[in-house]
Amino acid sequence: MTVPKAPRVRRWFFVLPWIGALLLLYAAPAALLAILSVGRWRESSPAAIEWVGLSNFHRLLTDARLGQALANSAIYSVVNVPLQLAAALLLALLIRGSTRVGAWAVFYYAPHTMAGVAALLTWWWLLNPQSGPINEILRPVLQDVHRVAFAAGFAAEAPWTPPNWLYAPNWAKPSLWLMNLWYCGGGMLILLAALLKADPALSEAARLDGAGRVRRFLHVTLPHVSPAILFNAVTGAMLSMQEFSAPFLLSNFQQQDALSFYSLYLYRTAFERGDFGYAAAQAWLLLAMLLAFGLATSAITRRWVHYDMEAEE
Amino acid sequence: MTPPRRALPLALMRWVVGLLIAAPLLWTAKASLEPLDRLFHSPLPAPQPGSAVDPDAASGPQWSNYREALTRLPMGRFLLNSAVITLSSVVGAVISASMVAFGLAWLPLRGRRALLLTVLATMALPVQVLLVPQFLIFRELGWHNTYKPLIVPSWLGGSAFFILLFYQFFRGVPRAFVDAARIDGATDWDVYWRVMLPLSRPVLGAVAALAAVAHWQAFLSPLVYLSDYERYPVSVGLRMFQTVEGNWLNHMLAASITAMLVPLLVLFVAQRFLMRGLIAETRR
Repeated sequence: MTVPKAPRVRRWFFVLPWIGALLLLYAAPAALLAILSVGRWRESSPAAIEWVGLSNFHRLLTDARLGQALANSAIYSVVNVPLQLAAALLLALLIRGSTRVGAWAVFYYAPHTMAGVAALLTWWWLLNPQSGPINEILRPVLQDVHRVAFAAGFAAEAPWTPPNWLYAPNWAKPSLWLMNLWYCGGGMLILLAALLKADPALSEAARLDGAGRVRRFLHVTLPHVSPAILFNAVTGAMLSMQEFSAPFLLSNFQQQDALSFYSLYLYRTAFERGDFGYAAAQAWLLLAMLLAFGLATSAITRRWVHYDMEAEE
Repeated sequence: MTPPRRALPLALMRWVVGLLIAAPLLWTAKASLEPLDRLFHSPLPAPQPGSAVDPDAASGPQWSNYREALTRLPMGRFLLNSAVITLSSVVGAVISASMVAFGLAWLPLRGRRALLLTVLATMALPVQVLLVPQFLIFRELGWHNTYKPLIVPSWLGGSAFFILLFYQFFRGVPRAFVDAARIDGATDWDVYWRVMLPLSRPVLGAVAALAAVAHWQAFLSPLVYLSDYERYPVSVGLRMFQTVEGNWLNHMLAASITAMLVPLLVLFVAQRFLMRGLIAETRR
């Protein structure tokens, strides 16, 4: 049968917004990024660019504070991602058997939608070492534990004090790790969807064959959710490396740059120091690192992630 | 599925975790209704004998904290700005993402696969990579200190993720639906507007909810593009409380609670769209 076809031009109408996006939001900025990284942006009207060669890239190699920012982001991510993942998996396992799994999922997911400046300011107060409620609870508990430990000879006489959250170099990142646990409902949702898709008959069959709970988890459940775990881990690592609002709002002098993360450093280079050329070089480095990370993960994990169970979809 | 022996401890643990998740909000809500001096628990000065007890000493929930939080800084203005930015972005994202997805899913375009690949590629691109050149381009266009840099991208496909959500749904629509409409003389636009969109109500709801939350919470782009504080959305405006925190802590918490209510409300309204796939799975 012949189906009437609309003129070709009109068909392109539908994808025009995306072509606009490609030009305005990606192609033109990418070209400018390339130019910026080898030139100096001159504030004039019209703006002009002065060729500076590879000096911006050379600075990447010698900038100690950039190295520190990179290390900060890496350390933060290396702990943050597995911690979030473990919490998300625990929550998903906890509610998957419930008759009201949907209601629990919405409940546990709620903090994820509230992630923003308002929640960060709330946590800024919650974690305040002097007057925040978290230490209000920890303080007497630690005192009691210390009293017992001291009586038993396990502790020195000096009393234990609650952590100096957000106000000491060593407690800055742990503060964020703790805070982020509150948001793990986002990752939970993806893992939960994968868990619910798993056929309970498989686990039951393994049980009848004499597999214990641990073995059933390791050999039946975990392979089912391994693509979801990988997805969470990769996006989590990418997002951790881009973390901006939390270090921007929660960093302070007492932390001695412990929250000087890569994206914060990039922002400050560009928008506080006006050094667009060097910021462009930093952007290239970020892109290269994340690209390398993405390629490496897909090469390494191909071996153990079980996509075959999803193939039927 | 779960043997009854294990059901009770699991149910208990679900409630404990639920309490842990609710606790920060409950604490904050309580603190936002306290008078300021009650928030600093440093050893309270014992009432001196003879000193008159302040007759106005606050007792009970201080609802005035909320009134003051919304008026001492132009919080009402910030909330309104956020509403304007969020609504215009959500409308743009829903319309443009669905259009692009329809074009990619159903129209015989040359280079369709290449376009689809660009959608996928931009999804993995960190915002910070192109932030600086985007800022400079928008500034040269005279968009600095306007809402255009915040809204226009939403009208250009919204985000790759939204396009993909629509794309996957549209691909699943049976070919017969489209053919039947075409035989009846439907144009491409008719197929999009009268066949695809009415079918895709759950995706529309999910995209609208996700876009609303994302734009309400957006911080980096308004921070970079807006310089006039009267134009700040609530995310950037709230930051002003940080500088005066010592004096206005309870107001800051009241304002934060207010700002968090909006995404919470969106989640509540849209939960059936967001959880639909999930709940359908459990009924299987």
